[in-house]
Amino acid sequence: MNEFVRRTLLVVLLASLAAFTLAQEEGALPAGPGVDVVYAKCQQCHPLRYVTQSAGLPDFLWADTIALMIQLGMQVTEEEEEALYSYLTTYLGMNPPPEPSESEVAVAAEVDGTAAYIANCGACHGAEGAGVAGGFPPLVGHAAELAQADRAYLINLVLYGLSGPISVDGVDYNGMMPGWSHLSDDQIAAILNHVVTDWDEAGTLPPNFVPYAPEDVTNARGQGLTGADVYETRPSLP
Amino acid sequence: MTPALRNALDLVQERDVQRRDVLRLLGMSSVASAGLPTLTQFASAQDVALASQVIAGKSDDLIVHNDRSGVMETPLELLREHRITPKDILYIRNNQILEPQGRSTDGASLEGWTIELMGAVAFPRVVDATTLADLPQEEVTMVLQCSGNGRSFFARSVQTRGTQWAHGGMGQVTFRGPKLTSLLDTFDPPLAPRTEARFVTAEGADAPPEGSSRPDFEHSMPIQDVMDRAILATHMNGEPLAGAHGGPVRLVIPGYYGTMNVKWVSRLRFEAVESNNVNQIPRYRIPNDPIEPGTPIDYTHENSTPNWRQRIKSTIFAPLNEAQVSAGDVEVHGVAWNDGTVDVTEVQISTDNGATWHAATLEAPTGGYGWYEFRATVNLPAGEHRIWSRAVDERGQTQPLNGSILWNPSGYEWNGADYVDVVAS
Repeated sequence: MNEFVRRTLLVVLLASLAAFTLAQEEGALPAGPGVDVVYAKCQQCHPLRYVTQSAGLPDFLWADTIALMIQLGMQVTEEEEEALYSYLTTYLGMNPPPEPSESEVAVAAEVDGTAAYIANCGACHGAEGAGVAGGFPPLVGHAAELAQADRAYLINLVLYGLSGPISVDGVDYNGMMPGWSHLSDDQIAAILNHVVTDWDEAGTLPPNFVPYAPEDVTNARGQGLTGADVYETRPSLP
Repeated sequence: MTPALRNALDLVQERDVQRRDVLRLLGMSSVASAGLPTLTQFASAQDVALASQVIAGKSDDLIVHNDRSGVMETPLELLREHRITPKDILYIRNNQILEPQGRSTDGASLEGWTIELMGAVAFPRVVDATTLADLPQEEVTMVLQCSGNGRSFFARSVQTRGTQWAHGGMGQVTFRGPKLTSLLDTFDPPLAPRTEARFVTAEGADAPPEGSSRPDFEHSMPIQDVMDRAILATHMNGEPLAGAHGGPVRLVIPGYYGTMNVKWVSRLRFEAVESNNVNQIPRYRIPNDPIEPGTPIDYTHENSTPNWRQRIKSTIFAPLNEAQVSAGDVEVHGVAWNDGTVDVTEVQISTDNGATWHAATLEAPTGGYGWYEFRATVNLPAGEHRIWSRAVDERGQTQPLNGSILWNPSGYEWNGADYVDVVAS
């Protein structure tokens, strides 16, 4: 083959390898089918380390734990429950696979932002973005204001989390939001567009507001920020 | 190669355990020194808030397990520095948290606080908590210990679920307040429980997070121990009880595991049966008979016992695990305790994995519920050594060499003989 083709193939190969490696570095859990459900459902009442530090539980004990979490308030559909059991017993069971396998979840170019929001963010911030007073801040209206004040801030917040006291609609919050870097660029862009444009009650955003693009998210990765770093850049709102 | 690593790698050969299991078996603290990557390294360095962000007044030296409800562990290096554990480093474990006082180590006001007494008593009563100060005060120095303390050590056999405490889910504190029986005696006639009352179920003013379908936390305890021991504690370590630790009033039962010492106590129900609340069953109980590590158990009231009286236990404070020591005489120092029912009579030390044991010197606490301090000198030639401690009480009850004989799926009540691995040179 000619030099051009060989070089192109090499670039493609390296890019795939980099993407694969990047996927492994992002997030605390090994990639695998159902990992999204774990992230979405298992950080509401405790940090993710309760999951990662339970690596090695026998199968029956993962089933028992999921049942206990439901008794303690976790809300899942039957499909989500099966996905949790399957993921946890496979990747955090007594015999995990030797290498993390690539996620089988195909990320469509067109991501339904509403569905992705509900699946990943709804457990804490509510399906309608209302939040829980004192627990998880509301996103309705508030997110649009943040996007208007500093477009990049929301991307960093979703990627790296947020840590520090804030006040929204007169209610104080002092929690810690984890990062969601395991979500794809398409997913994060779609979720942000849903949250920011569909819940812009006060009409904060200008008519020519440019929707978030997946490339915006790509460019924001790899900064190695912490939730406290993101907090330092929080825009002050009128 | 540390003894812990060698031990774990032997297991790899025996059980063909995957590499992640090796890392887990090594335990959290030793992995970093072994220089192997861990699952936790995939997590960002700051995936939980600092202790002071979760509860004002808590030291950032605490290991934060859960920054939502507040679960924090005292590093052993810090715990051993104090005979009485100060509130800023005392461990904390909440299932629910009472806002706002639960978020601070400041004392909380007794004004307006009431405690309901109800159930199998002549009449239900509502007590104004400010009157507790007028009653004869009882002071008790005791070991406050989470029933999950030591859970991480069950992973030596099979991983259990729950907060992976090492040694720091405990402390020694002094509570003060009137005995419950003193309170019952203030009524005319005294509020004696009826004969059918076999349990006291305690509720706190805290509630599950808004919008959650989680059942409200409560615990039942056997009435005799409650009548004999229980204190309505309004003070800890000589000052008004910190809101974070249950202030203004906490039900304290010396010798019982931490979870039964219900914070922010607001109601006591005298009842004929244990509660069926999820926190009474299946949570917070252990099988009555040993089960094979890694096997399930369907908990019933008959086949299991709640985390009531603390099991006999010892913890080595020095040397620390993986310490480098000078070959020759090495000082061993630590604490032992039990449920206070009988005395701890001996703490034994072994450096040959239990073939021979030697008695340490023992200093008893004031009252039966606190730490016994033990000291011993062992002579260690150059090389790797495992130093064991086990406590023995008047009844002859002691700690199992293999703590996993008492394995249970939720990893409660670990009391295996303690050990540290050191290198002498």
